Amino acid sequence: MGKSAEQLVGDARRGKERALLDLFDEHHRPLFRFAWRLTGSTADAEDIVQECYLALLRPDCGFDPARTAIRTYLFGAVRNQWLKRMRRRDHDELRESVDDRTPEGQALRAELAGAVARAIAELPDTQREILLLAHYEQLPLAEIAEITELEITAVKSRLQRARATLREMLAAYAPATEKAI
Amino acid sequence: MNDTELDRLLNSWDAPAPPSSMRDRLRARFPRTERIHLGRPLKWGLATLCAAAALTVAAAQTGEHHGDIVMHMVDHVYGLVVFTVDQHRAPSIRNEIRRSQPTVYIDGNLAGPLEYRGGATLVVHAPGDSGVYMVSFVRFIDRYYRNKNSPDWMEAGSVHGNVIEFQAGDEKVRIECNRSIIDGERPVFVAHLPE
Repeated sequence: MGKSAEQLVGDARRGKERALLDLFDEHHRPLFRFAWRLTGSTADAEDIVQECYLALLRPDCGFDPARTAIRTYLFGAVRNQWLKRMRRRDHDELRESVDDRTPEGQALRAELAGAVARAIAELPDTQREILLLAHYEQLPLAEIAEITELEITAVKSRLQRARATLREMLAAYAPATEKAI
Repeated sequence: MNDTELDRLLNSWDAPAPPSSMRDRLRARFPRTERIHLGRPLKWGLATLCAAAALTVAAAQTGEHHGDIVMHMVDHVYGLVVFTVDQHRAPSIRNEIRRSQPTVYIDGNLAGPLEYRGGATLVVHAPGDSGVYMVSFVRFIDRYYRNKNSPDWMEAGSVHGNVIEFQAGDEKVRIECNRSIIDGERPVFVAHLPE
């Protein structure tokens, strides 16, 4: 049987690189996706995910396995890193970068995916992060509440508002969905 | 647009896979323990080991009894190896203690916080003006640690589980951590420094 997250974190703090890599292998994909959808940048997403793992090694790291699952903690850490970066940068600059990364210009060129990306980028940040965790990462509402430090009812209502907004913004693409997917 | 249609629409926005080099870049940033220079003790250890081996061979060839000398050499080599390995491990034990919110009690009374000094030693402030006690977990430090102004180290207690206990002069010091520091039990060495 594999080691628990607590054991792996303990080993990593004692200098065992292998333990950190095991934690990385297990969780980095959803964390990267979440970070990428928040930032719109592969470089930023990678940097954020790396920071979260390295933060686990620091003495002042707040991870408490008795209170929080490692996945929840790491998603929360990604969110906090993103918020920290948001505060550092000019918000408009970030918004612009989100618009620039539309999949038309990169790997995801389909008009539909671009429209979805733009619509999600237009959501208020507080709704956007919840939509990303709920829809794309399929996390339970209770876990999202823990990550975002909100009540479940608040998570639920923000998710509903986000979906209602997207429904309006993407109404024009509804018929296209049938053809494109 | 119903919920299913919206979900299908949202699913059209894929995230890329993480770069395959990401793992290697994380590895490169993994903080590695600073290497301690083992040069001199290791050289002496090897030299002693060679001498012990030569003596053993000579004793066997001449039939003379050099058992005591050989045993002394072996003991010396063993001590040096343990001392060197413990010196290498000491920083990680010290860091583990630092992370575990240690509480210091002197004769059962809550005392000031631990200090952390170079060489992976901990420092406990003695009550009144009787100086400080340096604490080390390096075995044989009393035998092999030598430098200018080197204090006199002596075995004064033990560390087991989450507790470090030792005698510091007339006082009994107990340090409690919120989690286990080492497996099993190890001696604790203490040196008094008047300040």
